[in-house]
Amino acid sequence: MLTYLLRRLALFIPVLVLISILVFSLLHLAPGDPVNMIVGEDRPGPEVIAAIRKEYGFDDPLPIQYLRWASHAAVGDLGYSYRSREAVTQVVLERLPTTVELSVLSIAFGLVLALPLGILAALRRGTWIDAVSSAVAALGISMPAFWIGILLIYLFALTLRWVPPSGYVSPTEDLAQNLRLMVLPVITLGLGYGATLTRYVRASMLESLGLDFVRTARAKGLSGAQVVFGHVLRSALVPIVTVLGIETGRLLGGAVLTETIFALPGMGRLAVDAILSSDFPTMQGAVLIMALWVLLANLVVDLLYGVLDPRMGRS
Amino acid sequence: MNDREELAALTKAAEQGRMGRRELLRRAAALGLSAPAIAGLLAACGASSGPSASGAAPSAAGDPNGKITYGLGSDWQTLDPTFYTNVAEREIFYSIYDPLVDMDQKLDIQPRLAKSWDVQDGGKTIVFTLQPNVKFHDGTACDAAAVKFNLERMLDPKTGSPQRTNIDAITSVDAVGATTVRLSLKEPFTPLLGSLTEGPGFVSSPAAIKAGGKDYGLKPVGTGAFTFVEWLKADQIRLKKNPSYWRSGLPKFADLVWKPIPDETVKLANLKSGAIDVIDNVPSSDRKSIRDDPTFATWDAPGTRWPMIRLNLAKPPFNNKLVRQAVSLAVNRADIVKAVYFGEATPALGPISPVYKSYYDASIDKYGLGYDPSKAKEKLTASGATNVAFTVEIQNVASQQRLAEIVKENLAAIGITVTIQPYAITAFQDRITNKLYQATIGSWTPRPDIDGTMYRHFATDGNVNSMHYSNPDVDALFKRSRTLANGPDRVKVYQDVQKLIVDDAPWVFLIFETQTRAWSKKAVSGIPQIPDVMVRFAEVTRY
Repeated sequence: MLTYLLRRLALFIPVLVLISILVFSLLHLAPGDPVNMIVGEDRPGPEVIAAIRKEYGFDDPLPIQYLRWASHAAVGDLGYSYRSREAVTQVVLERLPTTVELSVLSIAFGLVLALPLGILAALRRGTWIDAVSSAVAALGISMPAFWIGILLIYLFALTLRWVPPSGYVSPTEDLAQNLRLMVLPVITLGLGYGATLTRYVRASMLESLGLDFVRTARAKGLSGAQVVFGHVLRSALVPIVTVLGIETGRLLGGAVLTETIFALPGMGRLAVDAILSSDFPTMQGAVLIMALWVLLANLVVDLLYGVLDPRMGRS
Repeated sequence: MNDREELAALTKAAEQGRMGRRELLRRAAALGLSAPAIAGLLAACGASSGPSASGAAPSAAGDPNGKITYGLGSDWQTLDPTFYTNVAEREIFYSIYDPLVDMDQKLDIQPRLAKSWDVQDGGKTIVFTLQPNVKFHDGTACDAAAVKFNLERMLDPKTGSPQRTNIDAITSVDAVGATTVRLSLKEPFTPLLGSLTEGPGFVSSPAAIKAGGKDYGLKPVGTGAFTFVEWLKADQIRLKKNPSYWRSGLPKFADLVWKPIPDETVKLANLKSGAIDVIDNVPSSDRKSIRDDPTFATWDAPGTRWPMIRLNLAKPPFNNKLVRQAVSLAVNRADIVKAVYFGEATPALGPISPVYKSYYDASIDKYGLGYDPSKAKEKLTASGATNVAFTVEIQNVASQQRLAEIVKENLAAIGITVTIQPYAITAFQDRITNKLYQATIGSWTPRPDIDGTMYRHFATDGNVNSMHYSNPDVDALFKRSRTLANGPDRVKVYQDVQKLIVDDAPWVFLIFETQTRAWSKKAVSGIPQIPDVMVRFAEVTRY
């Protein structure tokens, strides 16, 4: 098991290097000189611009700039932001917990929504329950996050005044307030995720329900609940968990929007702000950490396969 | 606001009779308060009877322990004035720092850290006398040496300060005595005082800059009414009252919180819900509802941003002055005001915004190139150009897209074909810097001195003149304006400059936009309405 884990982790390295080269090239080859964004619209004279180019090493060839950045990144130093002059590693670490909390709660919300809806829809296929489940899923998939977010703010923050419209409090400072502020963002991000998942749960359950072992289980005289939760669900979970892993990337994409709407200080907003101000080091750092996150999520999924289906174990 | 603070606010509201019983009960229940706590609140509510319960104006005294939360559309990158580039950064400086001089509602320069100044040697020397005994938040003295340190840091090209361009007329800074600073200039430069009301004029603690190094911008130390407490990135900046502020009796409240809220609708929802007290701009489409709501006060600042179309004079078709004039005459600015700005703007026929008070020339209607399609056609025919077509470059944002579409339609009516090309911000900026465009939509905001708005765009060596615009008469007038003190002579020079520029038409002047700050009347009053639209919180009262 340990060797398997180490082997998988070692595979991360070439993937991350590839991603970093890709991100670095995309940023630097795209039109736009970062000096423009550093100096702002007042444009100081050429001597100031020359000083800035020298300080940040913009005059070196791109491969040299990449190697300089990569060699530092390898030991955890992601460089300094062009705009705020802060250490990017520090900035990313400050922003990471908010996005982790948002994502984990949204996945939980999505599962709480998708599992009962999907399972019920599969068991009562073709009934009104199935129709309601499909309608909820279609609605959740088709409503854009920014729109749901604004609607939720109008309803719960302005009309009912149950929660504040936006903002963030660290859970270590005030957990109750933190959770109150997270309710709307989690629904916003989790709804679309849960809706997609509902469709997969339903499809996967239907497929498993039709398999031979279900007939055998029923023939053995097991109760309906025992069949569904002891056998069908377990077999249906494998494709669902796969989707969980694949959807991690999309979830992060949704976090970008959600964090912007609800003014949450997370990684998504960091990346957006960095793009808008051509802050390459922050951009590269944020993307690298997000890529690592997606890789880790997929590793966890792989490990879960072993738990769900021992046959897939370590092979 | 956490529950505790919310409860305190509720109690206060109840005591002052600002909230009806029903509203109070509703909010208390929303907070999950216990029955005894609610009973206490109701008692407080009952205690205030009589006229004040009808929601009359709160007492004038204000709450010295109060907190104001201010929501802004943009975020901060640095709190070091030497490296700042955006307006949110500049605005918070007025709370943490003091500028050497400030401006009043008439744009006149007023004393601040400098209690007086003397312009000598025909304008080539300015001697500032500083307020005595002013201390930075770290306890060190804000004296002549500190001012010298700050200005020299900004002037040193190795520092890489984006602000250098505004003060590079200074050749040397001398601390003549403990409270006397002498600036020597290359040549007389009237706009300098205006620049010292903002970025270059804020004075940081030299000790803190030396100790902070690269990180100084994260923990600023000034002399201002509020001291820095903490900066939770992308969430809030907390400031608290500077108890030994040198301007006596100020500030009038204890805590000041700055919150970046990127989404305009959400920012407005925060104001409406009472989660924040002041916002920096109300979206044009929502202004009427906010103005009609008696809960809120608004401050309309007309002409504080102006979009324009820059035309590249080095490329066809805009190397032909008659074509440029024809384009200007063909644009229906009233349509733009209505369709893009919901009426929250006025048509612009020249580069000088009404924000510049006496410099604004009300008679521009007579010589401006306003909407006149038949005259536009005449000019186009006279230009000799045929099949005129060009590409207008815009940033990838909805308001610019709408604006460009109206222009496209207007120009089609006189036979000019327009292609709209959107770019991402960095590429867009690059095409301007390298003067690659034919036409491009940009916008500008006022600088404290009118020179900061005019010279850099329209002088031959202006640092953001990307249009290849060059008119020796304009250059000569600019040069003269820099030696004249503010007054009728300088106003006359700018009105002459404006006539020349309008005729040359290097820009298609479009509109002057109104920006609107809004705040909760129950919470805040006394925001000084300075034309630079920066809120000076030192003088504000919190109820």
